Amino acid sequence: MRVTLRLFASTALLCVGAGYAAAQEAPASGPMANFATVTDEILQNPDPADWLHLGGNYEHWNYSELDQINLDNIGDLRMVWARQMVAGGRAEVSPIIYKGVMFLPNPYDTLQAIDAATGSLIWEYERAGMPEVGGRDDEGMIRHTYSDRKRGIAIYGDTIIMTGSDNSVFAIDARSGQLVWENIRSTDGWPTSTTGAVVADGRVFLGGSCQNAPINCYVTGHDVATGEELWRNEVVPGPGEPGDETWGGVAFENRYCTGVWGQLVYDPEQDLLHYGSTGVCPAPDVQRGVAGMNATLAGTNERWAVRPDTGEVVWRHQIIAQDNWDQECTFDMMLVDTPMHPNANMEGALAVNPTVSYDSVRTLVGMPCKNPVYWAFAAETGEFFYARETFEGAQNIYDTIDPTTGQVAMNQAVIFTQPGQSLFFCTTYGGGRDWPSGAYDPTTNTMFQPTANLCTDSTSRTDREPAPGFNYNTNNIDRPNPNVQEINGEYPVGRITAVNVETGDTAWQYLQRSDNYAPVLATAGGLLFNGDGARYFFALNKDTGEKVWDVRLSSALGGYPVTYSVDGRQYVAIAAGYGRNRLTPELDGPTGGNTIYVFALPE
Amino acid sequence: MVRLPIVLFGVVASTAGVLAQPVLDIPERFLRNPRNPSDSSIAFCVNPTSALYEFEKDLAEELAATLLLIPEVFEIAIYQPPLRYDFRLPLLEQEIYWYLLQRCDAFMGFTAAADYPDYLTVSPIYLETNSVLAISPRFARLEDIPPDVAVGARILSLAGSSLGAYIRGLPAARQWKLNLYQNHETVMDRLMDGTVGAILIWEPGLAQYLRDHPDAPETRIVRSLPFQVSPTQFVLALRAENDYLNYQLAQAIEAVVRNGTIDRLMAEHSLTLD
Repeated sequence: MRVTLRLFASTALLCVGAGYAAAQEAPASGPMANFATVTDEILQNPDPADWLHLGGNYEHWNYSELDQINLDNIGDLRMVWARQMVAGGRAEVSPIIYKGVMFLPNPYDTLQAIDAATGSLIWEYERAGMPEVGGRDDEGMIRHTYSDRKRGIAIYGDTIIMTGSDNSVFAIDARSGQLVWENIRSTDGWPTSTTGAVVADGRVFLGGSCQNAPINCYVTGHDVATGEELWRNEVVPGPGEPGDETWGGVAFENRYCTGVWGQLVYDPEQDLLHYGSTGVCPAPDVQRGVAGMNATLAGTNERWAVRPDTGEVVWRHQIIAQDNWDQECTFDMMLVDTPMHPNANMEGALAVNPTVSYDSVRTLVGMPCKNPVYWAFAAETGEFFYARETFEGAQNIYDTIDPTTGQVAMNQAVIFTQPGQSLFFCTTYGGGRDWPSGAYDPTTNTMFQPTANLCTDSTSRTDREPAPGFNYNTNNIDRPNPNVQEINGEYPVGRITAVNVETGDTAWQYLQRSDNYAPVLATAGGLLFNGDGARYFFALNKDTGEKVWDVRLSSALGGYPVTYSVDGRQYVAIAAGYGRNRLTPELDGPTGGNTIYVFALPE
Repeated sequence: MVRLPIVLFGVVASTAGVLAQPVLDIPERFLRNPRNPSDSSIAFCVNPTSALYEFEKDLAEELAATLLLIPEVFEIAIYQPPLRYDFRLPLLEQEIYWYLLQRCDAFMGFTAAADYPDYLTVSPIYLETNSVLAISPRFARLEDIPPDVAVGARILSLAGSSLGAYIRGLPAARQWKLNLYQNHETVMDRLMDGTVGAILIWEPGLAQYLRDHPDAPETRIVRSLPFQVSPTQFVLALRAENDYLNYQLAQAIEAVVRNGTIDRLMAEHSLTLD
C-alpha cells in the first residue's frame, strides 16, 4: 500500500482518527501478525532479537547481545536479501526492527515496512506534499538542503515516529502505514531534523539542523499521543540572557545556523535528556567582527542535560568555544555505568581530573564533536572526568582544558583574525568524527569510535559577503594529518579507536586506507562491524581490532549496521549508497544506488 | 532574432539530472512545468528591495535592446524585512535556480565569487562597486579621529572584517572602537547622529542614503583606503546549461560597459558619490 499525503500550513497540528493509545489488533497472519504494542518497559529492556532504537538502546551503545554470528563462523556470512531504497540523497539510515518487521526510513521522507526475513515490502508511506512555506504558494520551498538524508526513527505504542523535511514530527500507524498525527514545528522552511526523534515515557524529543538558515534551531518535547508541543529549548542566548555577553556584541539577529541535529540520548534511569549544539556561521571570527575579542559563543558546541518533562536545564558544558572550524558538538554520547579511575597518562590526554575516583558512576562518554576527542562526564551532574584525543596530535584547536572543571581555552593560532587568512587545523569541516556513531561493549567496558585522519587548509573567503546561505563562508581542502604515519606507502584515512571507559586507555587502534564514514556495531559474537567509502562492509575482532571479514557491495557505505533475529536466525543489515572517499581518489567507491543489504549465516 | 537554446526538452532533461543531486533540494513539484521561453523576449529577475533595483530594471532594457529582444522584468518575492541601501539577495542559490527555471532567463544582482553550484553559471561582471570611508565633518582626516571616538561598519560584511583587521593592526593607543551595526542604514544613521566618527560603507548605499536625506550633515569621502577591501562585483546568474545565452549576454554587457551606459545609469539612479 502506498500512502501519500498532501499537507497544508494551516494544519500545523493534525490528529487523524481517535484512540491513538488504544492497542490495535495485530493482523491474523503475515509479517505483522506478531506486532504488539511497544511499551516503555520494552524500550528500556529490548529483546535482543529486536533493534528498537537508533543506537540499539536508550544508552546508545550500538551493541547487540546476539552471538549466533561470531568470530568462529563470520567467514560463512552471506547476503540473504537486498532491497533498493529511494533513489538519490544519502542512505545514512538506521532501521528499527520489531517482531520480524523492519521499519526503514529512506531519504526524502519515505518510510517502509519490510518483512525483515525476506525483504518483501509490507507498506510504504511517502510524505509527498510539502507545506506552502510561509503562504508562498507555488514559490514556496523547503529552504534547507537536508531532505536527502534521514537517519533515525522511533517506535512507541503502535506507531512509528518520524521527522519530515518540513520541520515536522509525525506518527505513522506501524501496522498500516497510515498517518496518525503530525506537528509542523514551523513554516519558515528552514529547520529540519535529519537524525529523528527519541521517544520515552509518553514524550517525543527532537532537535534540528539550521545550517543554512538565518535563524538558530531548538529542541522540542511533544506529547506522543497527539504531537502537541510541550516545551521548546533555544540554544543561543537572546538579548540580556545568560551568555549574551560572550558573543562579542553580535546582535541576536546576526547569530545564526546553530543547530541540534545530532542524536539525542535519553536516560531512563536519571530521567535526563542529553543533547549537544553545533557551531556558528560564518565560522571565522573576523567575518563576525569579533576577532581579538575571545568571543566564546555561549550556547554553541555545548552539551546539555535537561529534564524531559519541562526542558529545564540541569547542567551544560561547552566543549568547544570560539568555534572557527565547524566542529559541531552535537553527536551522540553514550551512557555507561562504570568504575571511573582515569589514567593521567592515557594516550592523547588533554585533561584528566585528578580528583576523580568512583567504584561506579553513570557516565556520559563518547566523542561529541567532529574534533576527534573523547570526553567523559558524570551523567547526572556534568562533573568532568577526562578528555583525550584518539592519538596524540589528532587535533590542534585546543590550547588548554582545565583538568578539574573541563573548561576549554582554544588555540588562538587557529582563529581567523584577518580577511582572506588561511589556516591549517585539525580536524576538517567534515570530521574527524561526524554523525556516524560509535559503539560500546559492556563485556569489556570498551568504546569504539570511527574517525578520519584528516586536517584542513581553510581560507576565510573574501570573494563574497557572509550570508546564511553561504554557511561557514570558508574554502576548505582536506589534508593528511602530519602526525599520522603512512602504512606501506599509503596514507590511512580511516581509523577506529577502542578505548577503555574506566581508564581512558587505548585498547587498540585500527587504520585503513579508505575513509570509514559509517557507524559501528559491536556484538556479543566478538565482532565490530563497520563500512567504508571503498564499498567494503567489514568486521573486526572487537577485542583486538583485527579484520576478520569483509564483503564488497555496490556503492559506498554510510548506513548504521544493525543486527536482529527472526525465528532464531540472526541477521546483520546495513544501507549502502553514500559514503566518503576523502584523499583516496584511486579507490573505487561510487555513491548512489541506495540499497539495504541483509546478511546471515547459511541455514 | 536572437534566440537561446532553452528549449523545453533541454529544460526537462536538465531537471531530471538535477533531481539526483543531493545539494539541490527543491521539491519535485516546483521543478515541473518550467516556463516556455519566448523567441522574442528575454526575462530578467530583479530584487525589488535592492538599492540597485531601478538601475537593474533600466539595465535589463539596455541589455535586451542590445540583443534585439523585448525585455521582461520579473520582481522576485522577498519574505524577509528588506535591507535598505543594500544589495544582498536573501535567497539560497537553489531558490535562484528555481526562479531561473520558472520565471526568468537571467538573474540580476548576483554577486561574483570564486565558485558557484554546478547548476548555475554567471555572466561577466557588469558592475563593480567599492566601499568608501565616510568621515564626520568634525574631523579632517581619518587619522584625526581620536581613539575615544568609535568608527562603524556593517556586521557580517567584508568591509567590517577589513576595517576591524586594520584597527587591530594599529598601535594600541590609536585603536578606535569598532561598532558593527545590523544593516547599512543603521551604519549611516550612526554617522549622521554623531555616534561614530567615520564609517566604512558600500558607496551606492551611501549615495542613495544622501539622496534620501538631503539634510544629512556633510561628510568627507575617502576612496583611497589605508587597507584593502574587496570590491563587490555584480554578475548575472543563469542556469548552467545556458551557455549560448551567456555568450550573448557577455557581448551585450561588454557593449553597455564600453559605451558608457553603466556609468550613465549609475549616475541617473544616484548610485555614485561623484
